Amino acid sequence: MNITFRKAKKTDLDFITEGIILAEMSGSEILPYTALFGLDLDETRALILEALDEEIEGQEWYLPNFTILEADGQPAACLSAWVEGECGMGSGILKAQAMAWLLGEKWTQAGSKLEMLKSMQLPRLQLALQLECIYTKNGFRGKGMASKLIEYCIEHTATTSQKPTIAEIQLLGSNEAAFRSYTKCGFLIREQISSEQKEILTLLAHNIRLSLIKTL
Amino acid sequence: METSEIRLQLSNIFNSVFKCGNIEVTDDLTAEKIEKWDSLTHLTMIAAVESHFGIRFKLRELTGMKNTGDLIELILEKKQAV
Repeated sequence: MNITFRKAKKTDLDFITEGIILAEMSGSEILPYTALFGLDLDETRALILEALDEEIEGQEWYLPNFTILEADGQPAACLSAWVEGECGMGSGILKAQAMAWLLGEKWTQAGSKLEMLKSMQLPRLQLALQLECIYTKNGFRGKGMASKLIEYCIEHTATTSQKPTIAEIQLLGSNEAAFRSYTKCGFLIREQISSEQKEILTLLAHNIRLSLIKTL
Repeated sequence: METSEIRLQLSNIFNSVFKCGNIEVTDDLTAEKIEKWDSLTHLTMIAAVESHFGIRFKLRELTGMKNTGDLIELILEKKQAV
């Protein structure tokens, strides 16, 4: 199989949107945007496309942060990589601002659920290379595509400041296959957080969030 | 409206939103320096600033802000444009 890497283009938006949705579902049937804001799948796709169209740097939903792995000329995997805090604001604040802006009243109405999700937030490491929205298309799984993409992005992500010395991946405890794949790449658990609130499981696939890191 | 006046008023807003009595707003103040400044309290703070100063930010303006100095500049620009 011929493997190549390239930066994402506008023609990849559908592939990336699918990847973001499946990465957010974290191997479960729960789509957080349905549980939080009452969005169906099409509305979620539209929200992600709108957010990508706003071109907000410094967070995961920014097209130039995405790299595509092609297998025999077909997009097979993608991931988003950026340096946390390099743009000034943290990625969590930047993404929340975009979501609140785009969702309007739906964001406000979700206030108590969003408050609940705070118990599952792990602050990202400042100036660490963040790897998010890691997705491998069905049919290409189990072939080490995500590992290859992670290794490529660690080597090739452009930064405006000094090169990061740590890479970080955050994931939910439900995503066991991804966890195994990341630990094979040399990532270790830095921190984990869990919530005892039962309602969390109506919003997220799991009540444990992990931060994995790798020294570069 | 002077920068120093905006800074003072912002200090009051920050102390109220972030539930802290001793925040002094400086140009280089960022979320990293205040424990309760997270994505949700940030949005509450922005809404409070908009309401207090009678202005409305665009998304591009908000996402371009790097620190409180940028916020003060934006408020000044918008107040001068009124």
